[in-house]
Amino acid sequence: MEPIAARSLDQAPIAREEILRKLRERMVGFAASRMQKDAAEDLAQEVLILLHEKYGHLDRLEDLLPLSLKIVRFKMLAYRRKARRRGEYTQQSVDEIQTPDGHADALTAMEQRETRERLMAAIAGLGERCRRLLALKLEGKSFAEIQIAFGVSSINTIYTWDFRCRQNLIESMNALRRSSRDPE
Amino acid sequence: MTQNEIRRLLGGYAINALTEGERTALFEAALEDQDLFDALQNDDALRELLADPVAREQIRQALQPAAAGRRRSFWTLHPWLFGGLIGAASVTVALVIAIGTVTWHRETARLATMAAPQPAPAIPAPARNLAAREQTRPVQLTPGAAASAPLAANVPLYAGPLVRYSVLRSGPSGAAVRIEVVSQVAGSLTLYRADAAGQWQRVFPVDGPGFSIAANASYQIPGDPIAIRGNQKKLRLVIEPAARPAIAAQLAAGALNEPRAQAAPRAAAAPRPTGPLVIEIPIGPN
Repeated sequence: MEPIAARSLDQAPIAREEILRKLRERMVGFAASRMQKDAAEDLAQEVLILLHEKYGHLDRLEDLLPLSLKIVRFKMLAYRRKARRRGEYTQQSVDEIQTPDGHADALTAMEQRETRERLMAAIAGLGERCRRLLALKLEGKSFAEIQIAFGVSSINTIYTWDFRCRQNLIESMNALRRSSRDPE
Repeated sequence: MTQNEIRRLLGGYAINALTEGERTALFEAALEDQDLFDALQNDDALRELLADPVAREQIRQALQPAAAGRRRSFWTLHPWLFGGLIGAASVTVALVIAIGTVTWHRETARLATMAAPQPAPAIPAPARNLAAREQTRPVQLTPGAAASAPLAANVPLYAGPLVRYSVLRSGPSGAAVRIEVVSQVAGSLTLYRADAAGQWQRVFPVDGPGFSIAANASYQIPGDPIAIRGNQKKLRLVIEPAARPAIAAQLAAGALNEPRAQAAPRAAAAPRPTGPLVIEIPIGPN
């Protein structure tokens, strides 16, 4: 991997076009692992249109990347909804997503509530170590403090535990989502 | 960037605990690395949930019963210990009260004797005793007193740079408010509202310990907006800083990795509050 973090501070930030080009590659790569290639490319294109039309004033990677993550997530949710509902694969209007106002529409609010419920169920199934680690993180403890609390010799152990716990949590949530949609 | 460095940054990103530089490094790396981008995308829903104060509080509560359950099972196994401990605690409390009362009476009598030769101001005896106690007992913010101290009328209010807040209004008349707060110190946060009688009522969290916050992360509290009515025009935000091991001790133990080690001198130089930060928030007309 390119040692990007070592880029000198006086070097110019990455240009917006370059960021968007790389973001498109990443979005297509992510979406293609979960849907058909054509649909993945359409999804990335729709995200770029949205970024261009509604967020043209943003040009920093720190703004564009998290926003892209969020839009991709919403777009994929919408895609699944439509696919489940009537098998429609028509394009979604760019005005359907209102990410900046903070007030979710009824359908999104329901999705969020269900996600929260799945998270609570997934947490209930976590092992004791993961539960303790998550509780310490929510208390605002740093990794170094968590290392001390667990009494392990290497902080890398904590990074690994944390990574695996999060993976478990996400996998459990995904499994719960699948089972709730396909109860048989 | 090593695998462990990536895991550290991903773990910090999930709970909004990264510095600006760390976030930039993570995003720049994700732009080049499909696996890292996928990991960020997979974590995004979880990160959003953890950023929501209501969900965080629910998760915290969900994480508590395991410990509480263990405690209950212990007492279930040893019920006779409970009765014995209650009895011992009662005797201890009675002794402490008795000793404290005797000591206080002796102290006030001694101060009254010392004050006798001086010109006596026209202060009633109880008030004089109170004044003497205030002189001899400086106000100390002990952990136990911290919860009630912010409610005192004369508590020193904090107005420095460590805490920034903004009032978010909603509702037809803008009378429903939430507070967006960013604190440079991690710890626990509690929000109070002055009622019609001027008494402080706790509104978030409604009970239990304060809401845990990370440094430099933005929170919007409470989950449901507070309806401001009549003359209820003041809120009070109390941030109890979290206890932290000394940076030097962490460095000596090798607990800090390179980027944080570089940041340590700056963190040590930054002012760190010793007691709770009490911020009063006036709610002006919309």
